[in-house]
Amino acid sequence: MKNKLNKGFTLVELLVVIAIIGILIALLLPAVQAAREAARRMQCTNNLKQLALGMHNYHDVVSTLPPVGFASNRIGWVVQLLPYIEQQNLYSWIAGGGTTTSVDGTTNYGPFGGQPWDQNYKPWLEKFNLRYCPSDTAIDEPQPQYYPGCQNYRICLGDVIFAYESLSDSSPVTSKGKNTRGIGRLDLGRNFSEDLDGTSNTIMFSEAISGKPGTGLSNRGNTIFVAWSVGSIASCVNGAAAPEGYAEEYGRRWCESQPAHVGFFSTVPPNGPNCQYGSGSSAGYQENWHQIITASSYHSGGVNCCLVDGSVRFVSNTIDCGDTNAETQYSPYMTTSPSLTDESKFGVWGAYGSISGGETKTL
Amino acid sequence: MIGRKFTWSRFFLLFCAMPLLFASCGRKDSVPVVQVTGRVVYKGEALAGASVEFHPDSDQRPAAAITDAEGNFILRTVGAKKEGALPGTYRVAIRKSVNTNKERPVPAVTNGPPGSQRLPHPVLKSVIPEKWSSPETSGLSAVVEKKGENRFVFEIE
Repeated sequence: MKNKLNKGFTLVELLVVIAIIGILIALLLPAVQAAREAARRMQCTNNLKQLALGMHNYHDVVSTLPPVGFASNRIGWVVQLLPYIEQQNLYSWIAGGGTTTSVDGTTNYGPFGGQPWDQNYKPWLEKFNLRYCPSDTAIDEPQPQYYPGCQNYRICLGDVIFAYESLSDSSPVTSKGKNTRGIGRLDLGRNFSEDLDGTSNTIMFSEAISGKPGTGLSNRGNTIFVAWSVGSIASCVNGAAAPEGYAEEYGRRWCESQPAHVGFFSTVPPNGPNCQYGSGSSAGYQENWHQIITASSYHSGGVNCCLVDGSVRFVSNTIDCGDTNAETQYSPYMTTSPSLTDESKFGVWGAYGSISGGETKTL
Repeated sequence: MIGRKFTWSRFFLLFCAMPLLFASCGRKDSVPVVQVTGRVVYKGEALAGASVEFHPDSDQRPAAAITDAEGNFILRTVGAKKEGALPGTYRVAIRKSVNTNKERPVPAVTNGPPGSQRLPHPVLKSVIPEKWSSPETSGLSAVVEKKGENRFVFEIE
C-alpha cells in the first residue's frame, strides 16, 4: 500500500508544477519578445546608418545626393545608391543589361532597361538586407504583379504635400511637383550645402511598413491608407475618412521613384494614416501623385529616423506635429513651387523634415 | 479529499485570473481623447459629406471628422486609439467642396505599369460660403471638456 502511494505524482503535485511553469512562462515571454523586438530595432538602426554612410560616400563622389528618381525611366534612389552599399555587382548587372537580366531569358534589356514594375527583369527580384526592417515580415510574402520587391526605408520629401507631378514632365527641376522642402528631390539630387538647417537638424531617412496587396491595409491588417474626399484632407490626416479601396501596393517597388514606394512626408505623425486623393476602386488601378505618405513601423511607439549627419533617432508617435489640419491651407494642388524658407507648420516633425525652414526646434 | 478538491479549484481560479492580471498591465493611451460628437446644419438642413476641422488654440493635436448623411459627426485625432478629441479650446472650420474638373483619368501609356491611369488634378469649388472653411473667418469655436457630454451643433448659413 505504501509503495503504491509513493509511485508517481498526485494530481495536485502535477497541477502545482504546471501552474508554476505557467507563471514563469507568462512572466518571461513578454520579456523575451521585447528583447527580440529591441534586437530587431537595433538592426533597423544599423541599416539606416549603413544607408546614410552610403549617401555620404555617394556625395563625396558625385558632389550631390542621389535624386529621388529620374523623369526618364522612373528609377529611384535605391538603385543609384547600390554601389555605395556594397551592391556593386547588382548595380553592374543593371548597368550592363542584356538577356541575362531577363527571367524568361529572351528579352534583351539595355542598360537600366527594366521598368520599375517589370517582374521579368531579374535585378529587381534580388533581395538584400539593407532594404528591409527586420520587424516587417512582408519580405517573405509573395509579391503581387508589377511589384518586384519591398522597401522599408524611405527618403524624406519634406513637410509639404503637393501634386507630385508626372515624372515624365519635362518641366525644370525647381517647378511644382519636382521641388520639395526635404532632402530628397526629383531629377536633381540636393547637396549638403543646401541643407541650411544643418545636417543634424534634418531627417534624411525614415521607415515605412509594407502594404497588403490590393487593400488599404498594412501587411498585418492595420488601416494605413485612407482616401481623402475632395476638400477634406484634414479628415484624412486625422483618420476620420473611411478607408476606401486602394489598388496601389504601397512600399513594394524598391526600384521606383514614387513617394508611395520610396519616400515619406514629415507631416502626419509617425504611424498615422497615409492619405491619397481618389480611390483605386473607381477606375481600377491608378497611378496617383496626390498622396501624403507617412513614416510607420512595427517598433512599439514610434519610428527610427536617420538624420542627414548619419545619426539615428527614435521618434515617438506623440512628437509635436503642429496643426496637421493646416494641411488644408497648404493646397496640394499648388501652382507654384513651395517656398523653401517658410517655417514649417508641422511642429518639430515638420521642422526636421524641412531643409531650410530656419526652425530652432530640436528632437 | 476535501483539501485536494480545494487546491484544484484554487489553481483553476489562478489560471483564469492570470491573463487578466497581465492584461491590466497594458499601456495607457498616449493620446487621451474624450468622445466628441456633433451635427452640422446648413440653411436649416443637415450638411452631409462636409469636413469638420477642430484647430486647437493651444499646442496640441487637432481633430477632424466628416459628416454623415444626417449631418452628424464623431471627431477623431491622429494617434489616439479611440475616437475623440483632446480636451481644450478649438476654433472650428467647416469645409465642403466639389471637384469641378470633368476630365477623365488618362491612361499612362509610356511611363506607368500596364493598365494604370493618371488622375487629373482636381479643381475645387466650395459649395458653402468660403468664410466657413477657415478657422480665422468662421467665428466658430468649441470647448471640449474632460468630463461630461461633448456635443456641438453648428448651424451655419
